[in-house]
Amino acid sequence: MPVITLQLGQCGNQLGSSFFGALATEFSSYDYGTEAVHEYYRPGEGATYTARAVLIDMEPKVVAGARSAAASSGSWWRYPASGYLVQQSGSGNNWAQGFHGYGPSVRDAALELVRREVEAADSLTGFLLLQSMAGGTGAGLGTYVAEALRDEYHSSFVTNCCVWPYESGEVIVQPYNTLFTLSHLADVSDGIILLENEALHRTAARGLGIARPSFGDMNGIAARALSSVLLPSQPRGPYANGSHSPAPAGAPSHHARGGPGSVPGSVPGTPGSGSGVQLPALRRNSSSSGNRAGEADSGLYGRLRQMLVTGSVLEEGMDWSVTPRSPGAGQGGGGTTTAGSAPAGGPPAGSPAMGGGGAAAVGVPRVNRAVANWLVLRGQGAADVDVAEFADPALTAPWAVDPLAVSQCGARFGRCLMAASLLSNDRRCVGPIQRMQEKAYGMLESRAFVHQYEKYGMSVSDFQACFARIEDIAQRYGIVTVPLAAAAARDPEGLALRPEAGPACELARQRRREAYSHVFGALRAVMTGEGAVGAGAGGAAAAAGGGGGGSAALSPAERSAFKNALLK
Amino acid sequence: MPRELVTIQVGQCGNQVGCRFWDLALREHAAYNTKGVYDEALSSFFRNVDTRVEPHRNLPVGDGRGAIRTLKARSVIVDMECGVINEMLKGPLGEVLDTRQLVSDVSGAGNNWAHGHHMYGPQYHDAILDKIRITAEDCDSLQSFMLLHSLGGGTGSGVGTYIVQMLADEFPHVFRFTGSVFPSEEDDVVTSPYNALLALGQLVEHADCVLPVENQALIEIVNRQEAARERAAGSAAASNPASSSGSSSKPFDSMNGVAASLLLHMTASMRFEGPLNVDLNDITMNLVPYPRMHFLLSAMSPLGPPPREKDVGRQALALQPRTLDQVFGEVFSREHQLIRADPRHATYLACGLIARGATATIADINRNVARLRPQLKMVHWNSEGFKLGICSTPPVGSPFGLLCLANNTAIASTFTTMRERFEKLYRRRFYTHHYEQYMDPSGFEQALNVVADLTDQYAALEGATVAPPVTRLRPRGLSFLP
Repeated sequence: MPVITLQLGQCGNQLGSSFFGALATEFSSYDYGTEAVHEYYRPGEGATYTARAVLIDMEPKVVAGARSAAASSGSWWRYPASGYLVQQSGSGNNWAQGFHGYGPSVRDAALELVRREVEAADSLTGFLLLQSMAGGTGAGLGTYVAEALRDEYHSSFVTNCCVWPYESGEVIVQPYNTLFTLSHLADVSDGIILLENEALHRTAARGLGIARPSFGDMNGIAARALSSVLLPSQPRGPYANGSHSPAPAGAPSHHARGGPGSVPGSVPGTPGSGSGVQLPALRRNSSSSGNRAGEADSGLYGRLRQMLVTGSVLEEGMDWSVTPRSPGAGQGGGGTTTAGSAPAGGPPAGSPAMGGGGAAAVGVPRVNRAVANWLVLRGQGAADVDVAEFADPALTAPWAVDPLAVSQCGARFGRCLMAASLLSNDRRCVGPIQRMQEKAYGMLESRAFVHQYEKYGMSVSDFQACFARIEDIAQRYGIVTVPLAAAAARDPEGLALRPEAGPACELARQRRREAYSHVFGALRAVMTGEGAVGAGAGGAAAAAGGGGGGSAALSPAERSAFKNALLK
Repeated sequence: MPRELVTIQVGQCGNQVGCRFWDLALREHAAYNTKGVYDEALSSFFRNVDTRVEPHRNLPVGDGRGAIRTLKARSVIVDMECGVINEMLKGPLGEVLDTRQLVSDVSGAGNNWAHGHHMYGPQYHDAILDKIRITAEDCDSLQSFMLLHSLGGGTGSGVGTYIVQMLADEFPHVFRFTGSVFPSEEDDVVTSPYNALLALGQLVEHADCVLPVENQALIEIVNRQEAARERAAGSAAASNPASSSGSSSKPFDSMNGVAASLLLHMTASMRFEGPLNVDLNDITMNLVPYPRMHFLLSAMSPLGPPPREKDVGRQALALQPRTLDQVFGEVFSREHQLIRADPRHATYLACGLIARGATATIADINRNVARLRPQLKMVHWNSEGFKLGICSTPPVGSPFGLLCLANNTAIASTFTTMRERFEKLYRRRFYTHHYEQYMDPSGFEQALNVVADLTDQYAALEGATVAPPVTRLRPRGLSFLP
């Protein structure tokens, strides 16, 4: 089922170039079948194929570079001859210029290019948008295009693959641009795959031993990670993709094949997000070609699982002492509370940004928890791998229904005997988002750079609305561990987590289950009421903090009632 | 299909810098455009003209493989006296600079800002606008104007600022950059304090981005280079006796070369390819946090074009920076600033780093930023405020180069000095009658107020490195839970 890729902005075009290159390499080295190739390429002139791609940038150099690189690579694919749209002046790192300035003026031309690609396909799964979040074109115009696609193609998937900027910054106004992108995409996208530059950089530096990683190296890594997930794979067993979630509209139900369309299906959103906001962190690990299969079997999956547990995107620097049953697990919610006022909220410990778990602040949850995971296994013996470890309920939010999807493919990925990739919708994204938000608040408080956005008709209230939306998203991810805190409060000794049977443990488990159901009852009541959880919870917290608060703020009495309902 | 930059060089100083700029631009493109084709990079600065037909015809870039016919600079030349211009047109650049793009008079503005701004400005308004319009219409996608002028004299400062205002009215969507040469303290023009401050007042209001360059700083840079070169040449004097004689002839040339290199570095990323492009509009977006605070300190390494080997010898060439890390250290040092200010002792509001070189990677930049960041004071709302760019094409004769553009509160002291010098004259109303022939006397006070306001704005941010408490829209997290 064809997928149309849109490359937006400098970053998106460079990443797209690497992505199609990586796909082509895999298709060349293993016969996935014509249908699989046709998902991303269509037959072109002679023996060549044409990528199902639309290239958009507001300056010409990068698109020209990508096109000529594809043409001169000697590979069997090209970009479509006229499937690109460029302007001359660039968006100047200004999200507002991309979104409000260029957006409306290039809308028709861009949709026309998309329509041509759609017509060249006999059916359509959806769109994969490659873009950065920091700049003007990829971020601003990319967001506009995503919204336009959502309007025009209601039933197709819009999956965004966004590059999260270096925290030290490539662009000074990136806090604004990133948050604008995120808050708009959250409403229209079916799934946002975040690729962090920081993580890509570390993977290149430590994982591959590149002393001075360039953007090319990082794009290569990102492209391989993406293609390892998006290449064809078969769902399997009780963890079959699609068995637990409604099959994505337009996606084939007879064999749910990996693709951007199945990303949203496999990694469902948090219950708090009515629109299905997803921010899965892509996490990938593959054994090197030299590894023997047996060794890979035990080592590879162990490492990948630990990456999930610690919320790490890289094997190196993981804290191996953390287990899903580490003390932090039970205090997850408590951790969120204490971190509430700490700067940046403290990234989930164990993430390399903190230099391993050792640097974690007391009370910050040490264990990452996911809403859902999608595990893709490739290579020799992929069908025989025991994935029970990943099905451990301690890895995921306690309320998540059927949180693990597994799919597999016998073909070797790259030069690896075995490879496993994990696409995970988990709490890890909250740390970077909150740190970005922190900087954006500081800038907005001083009204720095705001005049550049006002030129394109935005106002301070737009900034505030966007920030509020981001607060909501971050809070929804907070729910992943809230019930844990409530449950832990009812079972201070952690009896329920002990493996042995016995009436005491049974009782403790029973009490935990009760705690969960109380929490969800209360949350549901708040969420289904007007204002959703974000507004309700935010209002309550605002009252506690003595600041702000909207009309949805709860009175102190309501607040304590809510709190009691949660904790009873 | 390039993005073009139209240069407007005004007055004696502006034309001399411009002259050097075109020379270096040709040299740079000649070094990288070995096939002699008219490509997109070249078209940012030059038109390709077929002179075999009348009227002359502009050849488009097309596929970037057409041969170069006659290159004409995208430039408008304005001077109110013709000496410098005539010399320029007779020189080797005569072919590149088009006499059709020339506006001149014979008498000069007499080092009087008001004469230039209020007399020549309106008088030549139509002629200048006409030339600018023709040049702009030759462009496919005009991105910026770059005005080269000095603030101390009459023409560059008076007519120059008049043109900036005119551009703001006529081309509101095209960015207005100015390369403005600030007068030195012991300037030979007695009225330069007046001219500079009056011009500055206009630049605050009408320019998008000003790159101040101080004569005194350039002199010091050139002297230091000279001294270093002589030291190196001295040790090699035996082997290369010609080395010292060739270099000391034209200090102005070297000074202008430094200023011209700044423009080449700044536009490198829009002309050549790179993994992280920086357009001119990226610069204003990232480095100008508030509309009027658009004065950027610039620093470069290497400073100016490298001397040709035949002039100075191999030894002196070896004084060029050797490692990329060294370059990064240098651009934050006082010695490499193009105005006399020490940015490390003041507060950075924003900082742009554009690295040039085939081997430069984002890892190099990030490593160096992480290394140098602790030594810098950053304003609290922009504690990580670096705009980064990478261009794969290095400056000619050097394996890499780095341009640092900083919005830094150190510029406030430059403004203060200018005000003090202005007030020294203005307190006793020296020479004001020359100005009052052409302008309303209140213009002095107005300009003074504008500059004083701006200085205060910068001064208020000086040392503002600790964030005040921020009121958030909603507190983070579900903090109402235990």
